[in-house]
Amino acid sequence: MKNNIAQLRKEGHITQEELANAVGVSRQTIISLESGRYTASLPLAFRLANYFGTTIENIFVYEEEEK
Amino acid sequence: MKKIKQQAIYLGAMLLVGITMVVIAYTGELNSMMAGMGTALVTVCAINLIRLRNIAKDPQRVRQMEIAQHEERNIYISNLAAKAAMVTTIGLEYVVTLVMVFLQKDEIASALGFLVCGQLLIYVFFSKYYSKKY
Repeated sequence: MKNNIAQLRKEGHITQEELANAVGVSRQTIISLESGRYTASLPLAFRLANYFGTTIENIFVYEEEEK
Repeated sequence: MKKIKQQAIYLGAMLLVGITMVVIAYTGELNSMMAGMGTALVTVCAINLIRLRNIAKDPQRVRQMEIAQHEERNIYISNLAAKAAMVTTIGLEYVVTLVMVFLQKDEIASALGFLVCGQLLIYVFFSKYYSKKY
């Protein structure tokens, strides 16, 4: 699952720490999300979408796994 | 802050248990194992109580600690670690059971075999339980 969190964050001139505090997670989680090592839960995805004022589809890009 | 208070109460209780163990170990006939365990318990609890007191003084650290305790990534990591620990433990027990059978240590092999079966049954039980719940 790819995401545009880093891009949206940079466009809004927001630090990882600020974003982490706003959505109630640690900075390490934001780092893991941005690098694609961790996929957010649905509640966190909604909190991120609310924070950026956009939809979940604009943040997360679902990709079918290769069979 | 509520979580910190709960932890402090728990650590305080464990500290009392540790102190009691040390007192019993040194007042009666000296029991080195109890004295060692008691001392270790007192040391660990005292260090953690001091750490908690320092955290409680700093609102920023309190917030970070609260986030860390409820954070989904930490819970996810904890679940993965628990799963890996369970699979590794059962695997090791199974291998040791086979080694014991090979070495003709039948009693140990039987005990370990029952343990492995018990763990697998507990796994099946919880698997069914959560399957019905969710």
